[in-house]
Amino acid sequence: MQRLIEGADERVANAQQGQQAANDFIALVRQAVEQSWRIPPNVSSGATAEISVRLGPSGELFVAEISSSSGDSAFDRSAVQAVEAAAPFAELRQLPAGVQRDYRQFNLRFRPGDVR
Amino acid sequence: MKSLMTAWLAAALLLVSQLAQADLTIEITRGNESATPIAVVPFAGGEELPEDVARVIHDDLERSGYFEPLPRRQMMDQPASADEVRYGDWKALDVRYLVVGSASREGDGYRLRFELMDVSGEKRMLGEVVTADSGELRGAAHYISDQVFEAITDIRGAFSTRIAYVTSQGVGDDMQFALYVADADGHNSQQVLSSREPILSPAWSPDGRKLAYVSFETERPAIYVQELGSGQRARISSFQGINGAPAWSPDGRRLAMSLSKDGQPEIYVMDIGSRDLQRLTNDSAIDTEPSWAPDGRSLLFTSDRSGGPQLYRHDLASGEQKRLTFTGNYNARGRFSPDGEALFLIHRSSEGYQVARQDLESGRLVTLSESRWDESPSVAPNGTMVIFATQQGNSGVLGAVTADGRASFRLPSAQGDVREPAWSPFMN
Repeated sequence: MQRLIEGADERVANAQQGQQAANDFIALVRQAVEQSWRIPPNVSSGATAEISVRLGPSGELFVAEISSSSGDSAFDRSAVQAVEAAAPFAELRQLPAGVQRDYRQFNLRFRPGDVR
Repeated sequence: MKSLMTAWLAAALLLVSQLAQADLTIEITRGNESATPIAVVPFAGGEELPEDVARVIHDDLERSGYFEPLPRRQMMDQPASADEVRYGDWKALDVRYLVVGSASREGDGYRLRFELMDVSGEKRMLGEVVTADSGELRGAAHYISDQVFEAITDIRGAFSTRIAYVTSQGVGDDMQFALYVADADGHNSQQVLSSREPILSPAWSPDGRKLAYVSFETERPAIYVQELGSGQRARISSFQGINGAPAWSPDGRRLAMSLSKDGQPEIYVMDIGSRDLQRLTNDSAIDTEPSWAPDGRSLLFTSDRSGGPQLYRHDLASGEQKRLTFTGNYNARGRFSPDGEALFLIHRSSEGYQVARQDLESGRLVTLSESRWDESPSVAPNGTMVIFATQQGNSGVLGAVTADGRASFRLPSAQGDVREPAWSPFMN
């Protein structure tokens, strides 16, 4: 029983470490995508698009596709382009090996905060 | 205790693994509000052309406010077709779209071939061949701009449309007024009318073939309708007093106008065929500057019935009149956006008289221009830009601003004071 708890302890610690690395990775993806996102003019307030992203084992972009359209194709395209321009996400390799696979697929929700 | 701990740990483990497996969504809420970088490569063989077609396209896209074309000197390469494009070079310049093409002679004219590429997606989006006479090269370039703009934004391009405006030159008794029509970029201007007396308020018919305007050539204001192709014209309203501010109904059969024949200026609608008049307003205030809603069911007009000028909407079916503007004490010269969801108008703020947009549903008013003496806003038929008259130094010039105010520019003019711009409908 004690061993089980120790083992669990270790797994929790690993998981926490993994979570920390994952948070860093998420922050990095967000920053890189925000930096390369060119928001088109005349975007209606509340416009939201979701892009489904799949990465290769080294963080290279396999797929970036619209999973939920904003209804504004220029806005949708700007979101896909932002991902394409921000890729590759080589920092994926810095994640613990066990969780890398979990972060090779994610969604990006594009929703400009202060566009008038 | 231990078993409690174990339970907690197990729960924590479960949570961690759920976090990792849940469909992770990252929120992107910030971006650059700058225009999208595009490169328009000089067309191969373009040196032989009397017009620099790629330059015209470059300028069109830049003025739209949607794009920031790459300066030519920064281009490392000048591919002429999609198969010559090395995407990595353009990605390194952070260019998102690329227009390439070539030009060659064909008979008496030219053959232009162009292609549009999505650089970050490494995809060819569009390709077409256009033929043009040498006098039509700018028009062909505007056509290409329209295709590129629509392929990327899904909004119909308005680069092939036209503008009408009035100029004045000289002072005192030597004043000379003229009505011009030009391409939307200000080039290719043609004089429609010249007079020693003022010309005001040009308005395009919905088919783009006629202009209505006010002319003082008989020393009293009268409304004329002139066909652009033939130059033929008719005086359709010359009542006593003011005959002003003509506005075509969307079906082209009626003209709204402001007439003071019964005292104060009031809004009337004239059936152009029968010249029958219907009076819409009846009060002791000044009612003027009518403008039709895109669906033709209501009209916007300016009235000072509440004290200062404000915009009102007249519903044609019910006759009901409702005040629309409440921000500040001066809102005038309203025009609907083509989708009918917003108004463009002149708003007086502490900064001066500026072009503003008011969303009809929320009532929110946003000033768009940064100049101080703006007049006569007129909306592009695709709703993306507003052209207006403003002051630069001591002379009147034309300015334009995107419908969200992000980008603005001045239109070149060599014709003295320029005023009263009117953006045409789509032509074809």
